[in-house]
Amino acid sequence: MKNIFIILLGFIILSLSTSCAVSDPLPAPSSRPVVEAYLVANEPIDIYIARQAPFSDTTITDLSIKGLSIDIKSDTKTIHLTDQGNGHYTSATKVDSNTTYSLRFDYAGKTITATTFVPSHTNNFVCSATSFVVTVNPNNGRPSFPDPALLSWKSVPDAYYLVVAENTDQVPELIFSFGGGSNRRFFRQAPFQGNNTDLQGQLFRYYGNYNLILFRINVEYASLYADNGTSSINLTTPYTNVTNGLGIFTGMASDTLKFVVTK
Amino acid sequence: MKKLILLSILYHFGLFAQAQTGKSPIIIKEEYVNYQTLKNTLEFFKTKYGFKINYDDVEIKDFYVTYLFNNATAEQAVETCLRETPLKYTMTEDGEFSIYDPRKVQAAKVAADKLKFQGKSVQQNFNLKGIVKDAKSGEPLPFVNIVIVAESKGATSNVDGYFTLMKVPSDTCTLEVSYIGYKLKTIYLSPKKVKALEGQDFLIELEQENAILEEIVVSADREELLRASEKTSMLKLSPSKITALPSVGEKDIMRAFQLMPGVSAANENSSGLYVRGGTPDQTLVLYDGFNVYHVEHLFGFFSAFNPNAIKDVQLYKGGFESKFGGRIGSVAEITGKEGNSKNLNLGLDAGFLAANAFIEAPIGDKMTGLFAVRRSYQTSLYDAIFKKYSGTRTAATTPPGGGGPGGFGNRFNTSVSSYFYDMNGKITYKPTPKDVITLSLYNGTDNLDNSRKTNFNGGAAIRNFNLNTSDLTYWGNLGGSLKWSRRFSQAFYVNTLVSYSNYYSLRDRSSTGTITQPDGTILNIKRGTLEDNNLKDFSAKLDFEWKANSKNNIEFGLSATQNSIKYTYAQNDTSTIIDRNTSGATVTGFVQDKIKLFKNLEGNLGVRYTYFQPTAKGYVEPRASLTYQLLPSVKLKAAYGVYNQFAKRVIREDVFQGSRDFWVLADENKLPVASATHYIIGANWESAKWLFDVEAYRKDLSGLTEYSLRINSNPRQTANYSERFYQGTGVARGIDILLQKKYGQLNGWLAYSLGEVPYNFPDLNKTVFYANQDVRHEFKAVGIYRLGKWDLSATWIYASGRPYTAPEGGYNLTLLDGSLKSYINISEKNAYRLPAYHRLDIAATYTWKGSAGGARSIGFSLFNLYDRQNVWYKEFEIQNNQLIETNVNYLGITPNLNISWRLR
Repeated sequence: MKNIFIILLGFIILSLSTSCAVSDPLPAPSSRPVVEAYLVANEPIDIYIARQAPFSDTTITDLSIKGLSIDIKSDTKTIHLTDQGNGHYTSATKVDSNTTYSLRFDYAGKTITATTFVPSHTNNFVCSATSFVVTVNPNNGRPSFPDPALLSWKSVPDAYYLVVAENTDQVPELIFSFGGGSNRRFFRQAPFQGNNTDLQGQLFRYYGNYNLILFRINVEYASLYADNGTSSINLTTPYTNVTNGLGIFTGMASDTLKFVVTK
Repeated sequence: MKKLILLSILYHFGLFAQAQTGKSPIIIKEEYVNYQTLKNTLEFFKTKYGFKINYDDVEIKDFYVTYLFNNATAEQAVETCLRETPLKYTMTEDGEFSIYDPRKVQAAKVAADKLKFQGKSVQQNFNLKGIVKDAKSGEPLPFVNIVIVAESKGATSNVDGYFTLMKVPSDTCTLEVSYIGYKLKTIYLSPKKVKALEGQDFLIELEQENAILEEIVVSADREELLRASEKTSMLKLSPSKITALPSVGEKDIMRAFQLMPGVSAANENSSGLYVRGGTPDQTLVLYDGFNVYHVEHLFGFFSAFNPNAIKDVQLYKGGFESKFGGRIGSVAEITGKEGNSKNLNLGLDAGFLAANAFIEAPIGDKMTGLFAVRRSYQTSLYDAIFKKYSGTRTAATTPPGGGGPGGFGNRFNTSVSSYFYDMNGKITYKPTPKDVITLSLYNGTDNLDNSRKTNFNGGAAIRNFNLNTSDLTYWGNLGGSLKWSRRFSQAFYVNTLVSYSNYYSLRDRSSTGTITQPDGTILNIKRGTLEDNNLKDFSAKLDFEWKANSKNNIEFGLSATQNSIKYTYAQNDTSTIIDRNTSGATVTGFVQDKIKLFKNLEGNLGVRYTYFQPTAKGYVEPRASLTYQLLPSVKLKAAYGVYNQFAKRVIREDVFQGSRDFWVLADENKLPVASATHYIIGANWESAKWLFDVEAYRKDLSGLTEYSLRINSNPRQTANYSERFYQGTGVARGIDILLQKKYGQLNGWLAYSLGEVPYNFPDLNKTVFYANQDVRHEFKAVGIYRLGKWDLSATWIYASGRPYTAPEGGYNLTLLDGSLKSYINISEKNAYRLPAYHRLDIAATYTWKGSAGGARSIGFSLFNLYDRQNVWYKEFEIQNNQLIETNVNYLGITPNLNISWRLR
C-alpha cells in the first residue's frame, strides 16, 4: 500500500509542476473577412470589407482589406464594384427594390458569398405631428416634453421595421445634456414588427430639423442587435449571413419624413 | 474458490460468535477473579459451571484476568476474559467454546471446523426463506448477498430484506452473508436450526462495522466503503461509512460516488452524477421508489440526500436491467431507513453548513418510524459558497443604472436571507409476517435570497424612488411513496407502489418599484427575468418477483406515469420567451430473468416496452448482461441495452441569471425522445483483500437536445422558443479502471477513467465537438487509515480540463443610426480546454462510544489542501481591442469541522 502513496505523491508533484508551466495561449483570429454591406433600394452601393481585430496584436490600426475583386449580382445584372483603396467598394448603380442580390469575392483562398433580398418601399408612412415644442424651465434647466406623436405605416406581414431620427442641422442646438456620449444626433428604436410606434419627445437631444427614417429591414439586420455574452459558458456566436465571412450583407428600403423640434 | 472461502473464514472468524450474544442464560451470579492466569480462570469456570472450553495452553499462557463477574452469561464471561488479549473465540450452538489466536491460521481453521455441524443431514434440496436485519436496530437490510459456500450460488435479499434460497443442498451446509458496511457473517446450518424454523423466516442479523476499534488486534475484519464487483457496472457504497471521507460541510453520498471510477468529480459546483460522459439528468435517481428530479442543495455544492436517513445506495453506471427505465445513462437507487425496531434512537450532527437531527423508534410491535431533518445556518463557509455560486461578486448594493441629471441623496437597505432544508420521514407497518406497508416522504428546499430594497429620496428631477430587487432562487423537491409488499409464497413476491414527485424551481431576478415624479405622478417599474419550472410526476407500479426455480429468478411489472412539466421564462414582465406547459403519460411493462445459464455463466435478460403518449409511439428496449466466472478469482462481464428518456433536462447557458437548466417533456418536434444503446465489456480479479476491475463502454446517443443562444438566427422572434432547441447525436466511450484494497487498517482505492464524448449538433456547430462534460483523463486516489479511534483519510482528484468556447477576434459594424456595435468572434464550440482540475482533501475523524452504545465522532477536514486555483469558467472583456481573460475559480482551501452524536 505504501507504493500507492508513492504513486499518488508522484502524480501530485507531476500535476503541480505541469500546471504551473502551462499558460493558456491567446487564440489566433481566423482569416474570415468582415463584410458591412447595406443595399438600400434606389441608392448607390457602398460596402466595406475589413479584417477582424486580433486580440494578440493591438498595434494594427488599419484593418481594411483592399484590392479585392467584388461582384454583386441580381437575376438581371452583375455589378462590379470599384475599389476605393480604403476598404470601401462602391458602384453608382442604384439598387433595385423587390430584388434578390448576391455577393461574391475571393479572400485568403476562400470564396465569400452572401445573399439578400432588397424589399420595396413602405406605403402610407405618416406622422401625427410635424413638429414638437420643447420648453425649458429657466429655474432648473429641465425641459418639458409634449405628448408623443404617432408614426404609422402600412406594414407587410413578417417584415421588420426600424425607425431612426437624424438631426440634419449643420450646428444643432442642444436641448439638455445627459453628459457622456449620449448626446448623439441620431436615435433609434429597436427593430420590431408592427405598423406604428410612438415618437417620444424625450428622445430628442437637439432642437432643429430632423429626418424621420423608416427602414424596412430584413431579419438578418434585426439579428445584429443580439448580445454575445461575456464568459466561456455564455458566449454566443455573432449572427452573420456571410458564408466564410463575418458581418452583414442585407437589403433594405427607407422612407423619410421631415420633422422639426422648436422652443 | 476454496482458498478464497478459507481466507474469508479466517479473516472474519472472530465475528460469528458475537451474533449469538445474549442467548445463553445467566449462570454466574457473582464471582471475583483477582489477577489469575487466563488458564486458571477458564478451568475454574469449567469446573464450577460446566463450561465447555477448548484452548491451547501455549497460546493463552501469557494472559491474566482480574474482574468481578456479576450476572454474566457463559459467553459474556468468556468474552470478558479475552477482552484484554488478542485472542478470539467461537461458540457452537451447543455452547462449546474454542479459543484461538487469530494470528495463527491453523488454529483459526481448527476453531472454525468446530462450528460446523458434524453429523448427518436430515433435509436436502429444501428452500430456505428468511430476512436479513441489522443486529442493533432491527432495520431490514436490502440487497444483501447470501451465498451457499459449497455451491457458490445464492440469493440477494430484496428491498424489504427478505430472501429465498432455492434448493439448499443440505441442512448442514455453510452460508456466507455479506453486505457493504457490515461484518461478513458465516452461518453453519444444522438440522436442529432448520427444523426449529417450522416455516418461519430464518433471521440473519448482521453487525455494522463501525469505526470504533476496541481491540488492539490488527484484524482484517472490516467491510469496505465501496463495493464494485457484484454486478456489471454497479457500484455500492455504505452510507454509514462515508463519515470517514473528507467533506465540505456535509457528508454526501453523491460526492462519495464522485470519487469512484466513471463518475466525474471535475464539476465541483454540481453534486449531480456525471456518469460515463453523461449528464446528471441522464441518471435515474430513485428514492424509495419515487423519482427525484433534482438532487442538489446550495447551487449544487452538495446533494439533497441526508445520509442519516439512508441505508442503502446502489449506482448502476450503465447496462442496467429492465426493471429500471426512463433514463439513458445510469441509475442511483436509494433506500431509506425504516427506523429502529428495537429501541428509540436519536442522533445529531452539526458542521459548518448545517445541523442535522434524526429520531427513529418502534411504534408498537408492528410499526417503526424515522424522521430526519437538516437545515443550514449562515456561517462564513455558507457565505463563501453562496457568494461564489450565486454570482454575487461584491456585497455592495449599487443604485440602478440610468441615473439622470443632478445628484441624488440616497439611502438603501439591504437584507439578504438564504437557507436550505430537507426532511425525510418514513413509517413502516408490518401487519402480518407477509406484508410490509411503507409510507415514505421527502421534502427538500433551497431558498437562496439575495434580494434588496433600495430607496432614494430627494433630488431635483425625481422626488422619490423605491426599488425592490428580487434575486430569489427557490428550488426543491417534494416526493412521497406508499408501498405495499406482500410475500404470497416463498417464491412469489409482489410490490405495489404509488408515488408522487414534484420538482419546483423559481428564479426571480426582477425589480419592481415606483418613481414619484416632482408633479406627484407615480410611475411603476418592472424589469428583469423570471424563470419558473415545475414538474409533477404521478406514478403507479406493480412489480412481481417469481423465483421459478433455482436457475431462474423472474421479475416482471407494469407501471404508469403521468408527467406534467411547466417551464416559463419571461423578461421584463411582458415578453415571455418560453412558455411550455406539457403533460403526457408513459405506460411501461417489463420482464427480466436472472438466469443461471451454465455452471459459471449467469445472465440477466430482459425487455422493457414503453408507450409514450405525446409521441403516440411504443419503445422497445432489449437488455442483457452476462457474467462468466472464468476462474475462482476472475470474472468476465458484458452488458448491452437500449434506453429511452422522455423527461429530460435542457441546459440554458447563462451563468449570471441563475438556474441554468430546466426540465422538459419530449415531444415529436424540437424535443425528441433521447435514446442510447450501451455496450459494456469488462473483467475483474478479486481476492479477499484486493479488487482489480476494468470496464470498457460505449454509448451511442441520439435525440440529444441543447438550448442555446449561440446561433441566433432571429432574435426578434424570441417568443418562439422552438428556435433555440437544437438536436444532436453523440457517443460516449471510455474505460474505467479500479484497484481497490478492500480491507485492513489502510484501505481505499485508485481509480482511473479514460473517456471522450464527441457530440454532433449540425445546426449548432459545423463540426463535431466535445461535450461540455467531456473529461479525457480522470484519476482518483482514496485512502483511509485507521489508527486507534482515529480514521485518517485523504482523497486526491486529477481531471483533465473540460472544453470551453473562447473569443478569437473582434470587429465593429456601423449600424443604420450611425452607431458602432462591437462583436466578438467566437471559436468553434468547445475548441479550447480549461486547465486540469486537481485537488487534495484530507480529514481526521475521532470516534468513540457513548454510554448507551451510540457512536460519537468529531471530524476535521481540509478541502483543497494545497489551495489549487481550479478554473470553473472564464470571463472575457474587450478593452482597447485587447482581450482580458479572467478565470473564475472554484473554492480554495476550506477547513471544516463536523460533530456527530448518536444515542445508540
